[in-house]
Amino acid sequence: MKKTLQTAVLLLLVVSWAFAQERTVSGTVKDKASGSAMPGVNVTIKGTSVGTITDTGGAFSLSAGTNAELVFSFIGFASQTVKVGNLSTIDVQLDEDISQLEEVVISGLATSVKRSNLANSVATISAKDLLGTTTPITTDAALQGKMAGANIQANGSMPGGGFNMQLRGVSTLGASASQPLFIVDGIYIDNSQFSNGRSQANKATGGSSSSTQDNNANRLADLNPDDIESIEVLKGASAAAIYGTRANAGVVLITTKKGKAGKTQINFGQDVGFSKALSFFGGADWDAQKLTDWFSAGEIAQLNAAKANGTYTDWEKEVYGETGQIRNTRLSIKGGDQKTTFYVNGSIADETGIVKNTGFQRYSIRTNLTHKISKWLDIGINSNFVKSNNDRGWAGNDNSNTNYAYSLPYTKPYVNLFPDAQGNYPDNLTSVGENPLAIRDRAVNNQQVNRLFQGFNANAWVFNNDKQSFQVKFNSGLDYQNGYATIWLPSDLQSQKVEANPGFAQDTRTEVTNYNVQFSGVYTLNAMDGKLGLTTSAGVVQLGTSAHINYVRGRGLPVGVSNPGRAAVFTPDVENSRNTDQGFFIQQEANYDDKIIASAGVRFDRSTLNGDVDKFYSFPRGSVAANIHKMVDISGAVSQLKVRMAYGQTAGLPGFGALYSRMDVTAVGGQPGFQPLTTLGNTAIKPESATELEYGIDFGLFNNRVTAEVTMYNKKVFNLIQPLVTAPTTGVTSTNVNAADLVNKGLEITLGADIINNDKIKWNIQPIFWYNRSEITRLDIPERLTGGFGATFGQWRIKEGLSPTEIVGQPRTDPADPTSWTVYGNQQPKYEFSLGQRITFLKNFEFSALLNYRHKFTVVSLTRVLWDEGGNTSDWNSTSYGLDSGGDIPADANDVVPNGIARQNVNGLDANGVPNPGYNPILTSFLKLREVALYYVVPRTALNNAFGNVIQGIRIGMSGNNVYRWTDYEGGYDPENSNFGSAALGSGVDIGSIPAVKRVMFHLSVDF
Amino acid sequence: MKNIAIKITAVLMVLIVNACSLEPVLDPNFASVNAVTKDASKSQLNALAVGQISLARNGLATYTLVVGTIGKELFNFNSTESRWMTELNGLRPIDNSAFYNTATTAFGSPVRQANIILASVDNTASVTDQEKNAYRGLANTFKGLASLYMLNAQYQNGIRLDVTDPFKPSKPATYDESLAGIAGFLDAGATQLDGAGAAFPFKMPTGFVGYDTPANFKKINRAIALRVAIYQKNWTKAATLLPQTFFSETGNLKAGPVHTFNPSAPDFGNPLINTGSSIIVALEEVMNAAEPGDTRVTTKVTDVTKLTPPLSPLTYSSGVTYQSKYRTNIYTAATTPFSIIRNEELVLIAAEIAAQQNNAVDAQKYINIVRTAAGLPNYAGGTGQAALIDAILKERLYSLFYEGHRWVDMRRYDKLSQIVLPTVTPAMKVLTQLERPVAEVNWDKANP
Repeated sequence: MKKTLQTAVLLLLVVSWAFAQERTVSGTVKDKASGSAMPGVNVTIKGTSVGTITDTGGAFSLSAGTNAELVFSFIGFASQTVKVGNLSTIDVQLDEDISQLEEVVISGLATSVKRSNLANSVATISAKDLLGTTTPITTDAALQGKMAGANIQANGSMPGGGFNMQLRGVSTLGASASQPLFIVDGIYIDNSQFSNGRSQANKATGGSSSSTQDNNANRLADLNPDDIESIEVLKGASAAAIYGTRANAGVVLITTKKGKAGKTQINFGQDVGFSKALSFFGGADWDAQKLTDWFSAGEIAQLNAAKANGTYTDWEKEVYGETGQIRNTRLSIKGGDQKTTFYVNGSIADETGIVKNTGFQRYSIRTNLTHKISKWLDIGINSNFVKSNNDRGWAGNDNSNTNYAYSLPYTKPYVNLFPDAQGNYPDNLTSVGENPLAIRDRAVNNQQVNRLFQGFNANAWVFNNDKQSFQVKFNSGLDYQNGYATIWLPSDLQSQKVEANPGFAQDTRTEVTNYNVQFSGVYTLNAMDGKLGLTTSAGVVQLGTSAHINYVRGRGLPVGVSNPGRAAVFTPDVENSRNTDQGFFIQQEANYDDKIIASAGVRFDRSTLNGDVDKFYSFPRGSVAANIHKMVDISGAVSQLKVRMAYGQTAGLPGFGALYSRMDVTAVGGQPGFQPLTTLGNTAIKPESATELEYGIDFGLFNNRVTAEVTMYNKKVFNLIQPLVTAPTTGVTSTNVNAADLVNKGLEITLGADIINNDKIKWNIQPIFWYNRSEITRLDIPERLTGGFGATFGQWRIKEGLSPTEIVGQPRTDPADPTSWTVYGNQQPKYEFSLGQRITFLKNFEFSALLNYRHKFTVVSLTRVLWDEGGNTSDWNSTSYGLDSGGDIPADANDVVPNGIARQNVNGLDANGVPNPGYNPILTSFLKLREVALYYVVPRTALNNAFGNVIQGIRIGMSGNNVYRWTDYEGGYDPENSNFGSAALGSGVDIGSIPAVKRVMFHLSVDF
Repeated sequence: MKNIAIKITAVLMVLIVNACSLEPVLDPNFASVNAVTKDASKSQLNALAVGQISLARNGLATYTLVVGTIGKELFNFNSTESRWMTELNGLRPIDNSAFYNTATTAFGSPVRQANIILASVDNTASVTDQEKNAYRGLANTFKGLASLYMLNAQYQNGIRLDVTDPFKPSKPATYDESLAGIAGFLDAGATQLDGAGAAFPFKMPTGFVGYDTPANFKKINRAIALRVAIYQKNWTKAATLLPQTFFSETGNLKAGPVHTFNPSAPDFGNPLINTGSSIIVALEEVMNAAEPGDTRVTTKVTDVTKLTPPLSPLTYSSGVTYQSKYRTNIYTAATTPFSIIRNEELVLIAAEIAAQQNNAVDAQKYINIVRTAAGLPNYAGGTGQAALIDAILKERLYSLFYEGHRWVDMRRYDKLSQIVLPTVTPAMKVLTQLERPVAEVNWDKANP
């Protein structure tokens, strides 16, 4: 394939072409508000891609026909169109674009369209929206609450990320990709989580090398958010159809910053901050009576002694009460001339957690280059090397007392856990099994990644005039990562000493290569005197992944040794996977005078992950938008009105391995043997496919000072891959089959308003409201429960006619019917709302804030169960429930037991249908102040006085991230916590979590 | 010219699409099941046979702990999982989707392995008929054993006797039909072993020393069949089977085949050893009721209050509070083997057959073999059938402690209500059987 492509490009280069004779037009472009010259403004001939950009003085010059119209555009400014006629000088003043209608949105694999002509609801997040307020450490964190239709959840509070992003509801029930496809500058990047064996070390899971319970970060964490110029989110199949079989969960297109022609700009930025726990959960007091009644009377003497000598300690605050340090440093240099632009950014993000010995560091260096080789050929190169280093500590589910998040709920305040003068950690009570301070200080859970993102693209104009153009594009990307993870539980830990082979270490190497190449052609034609613009694009795409994961796991280590190769018992393993996808596409776009904009396209894809590798699956799409205000004279307040409708299809591929019926190896008594795995492969497996119809209306009022985008969608997913769960006593537990359909329906409203817009104060608000409802419309397998830890605590039910994210559990509503579960609500919120605002005042001050509210969603919580069993929940001693030990209201008031006991036995729903406290899933809501900041821009005159011309600008500020939270959630630290990471279903399980974190930062940014 | 450029590009794209083909990706990680089910080679069949013996350990740990907990012999003081103590002791509703249902479901794998071997043997010409019978006899023996464990957990729910096609399993049979079906697997296996020649075509793992020829391995098959026969209360058949086993009045009571363990992968360590988070204790009620000087107590449990230095009794307080000073001491190392069936059980079965056939003299003789070995004086209780059966059940409690028998024994004599409950509030219960696992229920609901 590669050779063929090279030949193709070469062939095209020898094809010659001609330009029409035209006159020369020149002029300057200025900012209307400040009157200063604007470098880097795009000047193009309407309907073509012919054009230039303004130089440092805002001047431009190009040749154009007399019939041509020049379009002046610049990001953040409303574009202007000027007819050339017999003018030879055109001077233009651009006005700031408050409605963002002019920004260019990528509409296909090789084409783009103005937002005002877009037929889909595409969320665009600019650099200012992304990081303008505060500095979340990962890109997904920076997107939280900023767009309609996205449910973004932080899985935990350890630094370094770990997020679950669901666009427009549920797009798979677990067999295909649950996370959107991320494409950075044309590079398809890998956002997987890679295991390191931690859940084997603490026995949260047994056996396999990969587990979501390792609680690792998804690898989007490697991308430096500071490099991002803008993010476009294609939420559903109608917008993402041209991406074919990988787009079922949506596509996130990230564009990084580029240099501009003009003076070289140097920016230095520094954030310094801290993080603290938002809340604590334990702290119940202990006395002799409590020990006698409910725990071990034998420990009364120990309790009395601890209280007497002042060693009675709240261990939760001891472990989670630290202050995390945040230090982000970045230095960027960008600039260029008419031929070449460059952007270089080096950054260090360094953050420690609220638990000692946890932290995240990311070292990133990026170079983006563009170069015009000639008038007809330009190339671009994006290179980004990243090293991430993450210490993620020991939280989450556990079956061996190892995790401090699991042992702290049980740890009594009267035990002594501090190390002695020689550094020896005392044992915790045998019933708890481990000293959380010893784990915090001595156990290792480290994951490092070295990663290279490399993109290359070339565009050749085969011909280009004001009537028609033909462009050939080549685009390729490489994402290579090399991970190295270390797990170590020293052999002299309390929990290890009781093992048959004390000490655990695992060394995991992960090498993952993703590549993509695309070759496409774009033909444009201006018909009907330039009123009808036609764009035809077509191309071929190939992408591939190969992953090699090797590990050595050792049990039984000499004291002080962390190398698993030195272990008494060691297990090496190698896991390989690879796949290749091929596709081709063709798309036709038509624009009639910006009044009616229509497009249609189709993509064909095949993949080695499908049962039939040679079969092409087709993904058609079509869309139409009508700018009513351009067709009809709408007087009054309405300044813009667009109706739009789009339809498209996408698919999700089966996971690697779904095809194979596997024979595992085993051994007994020194003899090797074969035994089949309990899951069967399916060689007839097909991709999951989705269709989506999206329609909406966009309007602007009062000269677009108020804008609104209202979208409804109906996204149907077919042939969902489901485990056909067989009767397990047959020795086969399941096989994957295409067996279910579901539908997601939802509403998204995005509003924007300039409440005040004058010289003194600018106040802009952006309310966003959205919800999604899912329902399974076909299920050809028996209904089943999935996720969680059994029906006692709540599980997800897959059943026709119901939502797959509905959470059910004990008790049964009909004891005779083993599948008649009590319903505890839905993991998807009833609705989500966020409110962003930005106020600029006193010329140089800017205040911004983002509130995010999630209404009525259900969390499977086991965290409180642990704290109740341990006797430490903050309200454990209270008798406010007035219940007895069976969870009933007692006849005799003397039988009332503490809440911590009563909760362990109250099942089901109360009289109002609200889940009882205790083991039941919890229905909850939250309001979080995701971001808040105040910035001050030092006036230019002050800078000139102090530094002359050396410093162009200084911006200082203070910001907070999740600094305020309201929630009625009582089942744990935070309702966002999730032990199972980004699982499609079953991710909202709160167990062994640590406190949610608030981050406060001070910012300094200097432009030279 | 312009049209030519576009045409060239279009032709190139068509060429690229046509030139690229996708090769299917073969599984880079595992061997394939299909490769062994047709024209299997001898070495593949040998690997399947060893796999069968390895898989016989599947689920046994959970099973033994579940049966021991429900039968109130032992408790799993599991500091990260309170359902061992609460749900399995009737303090909270039993859950047919919880982890402990592997006490039923895990035995599906050895049954499937046996079915794969039986099908592979019928579908190959690589081995002789005698060798085929050896594979079949081994497969049917372990199929019978796994099915029996499954039935013990499910009891009156019964089990599926034909799961050859996992997508068309038979409906669960009644308890009596299930027992008869299991006896059928074992009897077929015994006949096949008779026709299997003098030696197995594969090397038997070390746990089967002394049982590594078809003739000797058949003694294990018959011992398991004997267990089935006494569950069926078919004392005549039991009396016929007893001499076909490795039963020995004078032999070592520990004699018998064992499952071995080795923590080095792909083998695995004994899953029943006590760990930091899972300590198996004997109920004080059981151990305190033992006769003084019973060496079965002192060898199987450790009184932690008598260690030097002494420890305080082990305490559990998640969901229910219980204390025991007896830590089990049977499975102490990752390599400690697990007995499949022992001579001690056969001796006590001999006693039971004698008692059931009203031969009080022989019954006492066999009881006393066990008592003597335990350092106890001869049996001096009543000689009526009821008294002898009670005496045998008591000896079985201590002789076969933590080997998965107490609950089943009391149930087959309809004496579950006589199991001594620990004094805790709220009061524990003895479940009669586990529920049918949720996936079993759902399958039959969807495939009536």
